[in-house]
Amino acid sequence: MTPDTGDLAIDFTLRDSTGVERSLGALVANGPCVLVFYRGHW
Amino acid sequence: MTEYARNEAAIRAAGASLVALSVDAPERSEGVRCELGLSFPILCDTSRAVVRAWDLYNPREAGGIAVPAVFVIGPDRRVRYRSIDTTRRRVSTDGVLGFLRGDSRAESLERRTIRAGLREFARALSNSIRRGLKTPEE
Repeated sequence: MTPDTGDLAIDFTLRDSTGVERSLGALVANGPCVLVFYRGHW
Repeated sequence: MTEYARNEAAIRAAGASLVALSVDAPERSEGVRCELGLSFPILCDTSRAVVRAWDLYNPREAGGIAVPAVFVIGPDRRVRYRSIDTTRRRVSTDGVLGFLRGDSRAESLERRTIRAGLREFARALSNSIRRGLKTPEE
């Protein structure tokens, strides 16, 4: 389910394009994070 | 992504970090990142696990891609802002910036009226921790 305003976002860990593992929890640890889902390029 | 490339500095100045996510393979995303000179990470959800879990999976196009959407997630991992978009109609980076600027002001005002002393102490503490832990950007 897509989290709504005020909801706890579902945590995840993914590799970035350079191979570094990133979790949502770590991304927001130092302040708010703008998370952009995009279609991608093909 | 071009729009975010242009506004990355403004988003950081508003006190937030930036991260993008798509289902593209790392090589493809890294190509985009280099081409646009992005300094924020692009997460690669090649298995579609995250877009499915977040219910932002569009299986009908291009072998299954992400629905365009923007979230502002707070340090407590709570959603402060969300915009679920379409390819044609998406929230602008100005909209996101407006939220970031307005939100931080509203939040500090609200907390200041409740507990001024504690709030200021917490901010000073968090700033010193942050400066000690983080290397300067740029």
